[in-house]
This record gives sequence, structure tokens and C-alpha cells, in this order.
Amino acid sequence: MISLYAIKNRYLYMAIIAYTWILTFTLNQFLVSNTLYYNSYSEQLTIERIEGIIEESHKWAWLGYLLVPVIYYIKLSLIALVLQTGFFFFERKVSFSIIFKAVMLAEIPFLIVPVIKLFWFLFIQTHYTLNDLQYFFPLSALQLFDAQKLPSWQVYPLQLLNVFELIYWVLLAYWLKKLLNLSINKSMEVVASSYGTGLLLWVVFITFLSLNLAP
Amino acid sequence: MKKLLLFGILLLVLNTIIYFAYSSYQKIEEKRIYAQQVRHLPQISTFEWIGSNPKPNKFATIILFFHPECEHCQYEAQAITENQKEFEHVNLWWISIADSIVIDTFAQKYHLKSLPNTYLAHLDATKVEKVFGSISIPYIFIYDDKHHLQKEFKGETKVEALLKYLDAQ
Repeated sequence: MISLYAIKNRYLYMAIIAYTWILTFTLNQFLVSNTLYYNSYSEQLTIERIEGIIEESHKWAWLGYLLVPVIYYIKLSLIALVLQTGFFFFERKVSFSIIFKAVMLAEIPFLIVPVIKLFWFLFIQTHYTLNDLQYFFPLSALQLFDAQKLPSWQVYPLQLLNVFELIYWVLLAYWLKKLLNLSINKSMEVVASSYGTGLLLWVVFITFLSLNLAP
Repeated sequence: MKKLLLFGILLLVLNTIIYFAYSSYQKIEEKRIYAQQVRHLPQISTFEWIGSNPKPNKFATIILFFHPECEHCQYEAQAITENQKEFEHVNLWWISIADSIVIDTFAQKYHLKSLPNTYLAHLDATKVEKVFGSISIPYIFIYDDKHHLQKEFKGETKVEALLKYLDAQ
């Protein structure tokens, strides 16, 4: 059996992208129907306007798929860069590609989220709106609240507070330990101080943006 | 040298976090104040009325914050004009940041003045946030006859949805 960490970065990256494309396509096919648009917008919009929205969403669907590799690349690179900065201050010179690999491997639990989402809306919550789909994040603090009644700026921080994020931290430390022959304590120290700080900065930035951009 | 760099980066990150957190806190406070404010119909003197000022009556009031060039606002105007009988006993305040002449041309194009209690007004762009908070275009506020807010709609809204909240009073 080939070890996960023996796989070349580009193949791992392509596998993540291919998997995300397939899952996005499946979610769109099974969960997003024209009826969903009518149910979500019918209180406020006329049938003709909803049909217009459906037409537009079909027209621009390709853009969502096109953006997947771009968004993943930016996300993974930023996290790897933050971790590399952390290692620099911990007096350890580490290659960017090794950190990039650890970041990709740690990403794997997050790939389960769309599968849970698919099963949740197919078998458990079968009546839902576009907002329900957008706000759903399993095992997150957001599930404890009625997301529709929350101010929009609170949604992202509460979504981010989830079990998968916790697993991500542990896995990131584990893969860095494994790939760089570090002690788990040292590895966790680097993750907490660099990725933790970066994440805090990111959350306050997104909160700031959503407060200033969303009406 | 490395310690100095680390100190510099930490200081920068900390300052940025404090800046975003403090700005966010201020914005949350502002939003809270605006949310309180829009619960009551704004004073007539808040706006620069084009033509006549609204006359006091016992009707409910709909404020439509719009821009003449916005496609959704044009659709809203068209839909309301087509159903004008339904709005005969409702005050319609069309408020925009556009120039008075442009607002007037818009009103003529969509025959807004043919409705008995329709009023048009200009609101300076700098005052929008102080009056309504941060809102998008179009944005609709529905007030009852006692000037209490009943419902807000972000974006274009079909006539039936507007009437639903008027009928509920």
C-alpha cells in the first residue's frame, strides 16, 4: 500500500480538486433543484424573477467549478506560508513543498463535510431552503443556533468553531511531525503559534468584512 | 536580528487584529443604533422632497429606497404602477440618492405620480447610513399607520409580499 505522504504533491492536489468537483456536482444534482429556488424565494419574488435567477445560476455554474482549484491553491499556500514563517522563528529551515503536503493531508477530514451534507439533506432534513444549505456545517457551533436569526457577521466564526477544525489542528501537527521528524509537542507548538495566529487574524478580517459589506 | 523581526511581525499582527476587532465592535454598535432607529418612520424633514411633502393621514407607509438606474428598482416601480389600485390607501415614499431631476424623470417614466399618496425625495448619500443604516438598493421598509416598522425587505419584492404585511395590520 502506498503511503499517503509518498504521493507527489501535484497528484495529491489533483485528487483533492477532482474529489471536490465530483462532490460539488453531486450536491448540485441531488440537492439544488428548481423547486428549491421557488421554495427559497417565492415569499419575496415573482415566478418570472425566480426563473430568471435559475437561468442565471445555470449560466454561471461553470464559474463555481473553475474557482475550486484557484481557491484551494490560495488557501493551501497561505496556510503553508504561515507555517513556514512559524518554522523560521523556531530556528528550523523547512522546504515549502513538505509543509504544503502536510497541509493537503490535514485537509482530508474536511472532505467528509460535503458527504455528511449530502446525506443530511437527502435523508434527515428533507425540507430545506438555499439558506439552510449555505449555513449547514456539521458538528459546528452554528448548529446550536437558528442561523436565519443570527446577524450575518456571526455565521462564519460560529461555522469555524467545529470538530473538523479541531481534528485539522491535530492532523496538521501529526503530519508535520511525521514529515519533518519532529516531536509532537514541537509540531503542535508551531501549529498553534503560527496557524492559530493566522486563523485568528483571518476570522477577525472576515468578520470585519462581513460587517462592512453586508447590509 | 531574528528576534527583532519576530517582535515586528507580532506587533504588526496584534495591531491588525486590534484594528479589525475594534472597527467591528464600532460597526456592531452602529448597526444596533440604526436597527433601533428604523423601528419608527423617519421624520418628514429628514428628506428633500421633490414636489409636495407627505400629508399626515392614517395610512400605512412604505419606504422604497431605490436608484433610477437599478434594474430591480425599475421592476419594482413597474409592478407597483401596474397594481396601483392596491396602493391607493398607502403612503409610498420613494427615496433615492440620485439627483432630483433624475428621480423626477424616473417617476414620470413609471407613472408613479398617478398614485394618490406617492411622494418622491432625495437623500444625500452621506446621510443614508445615519437614517437607515447600511442598506443595499433596492430596500423596502413597511410601517403601519402608527409609524411602527412591520417588515423590511432587502432587494426587489413582489407586490403580493408587500400587500401581505399591509393587510396584516
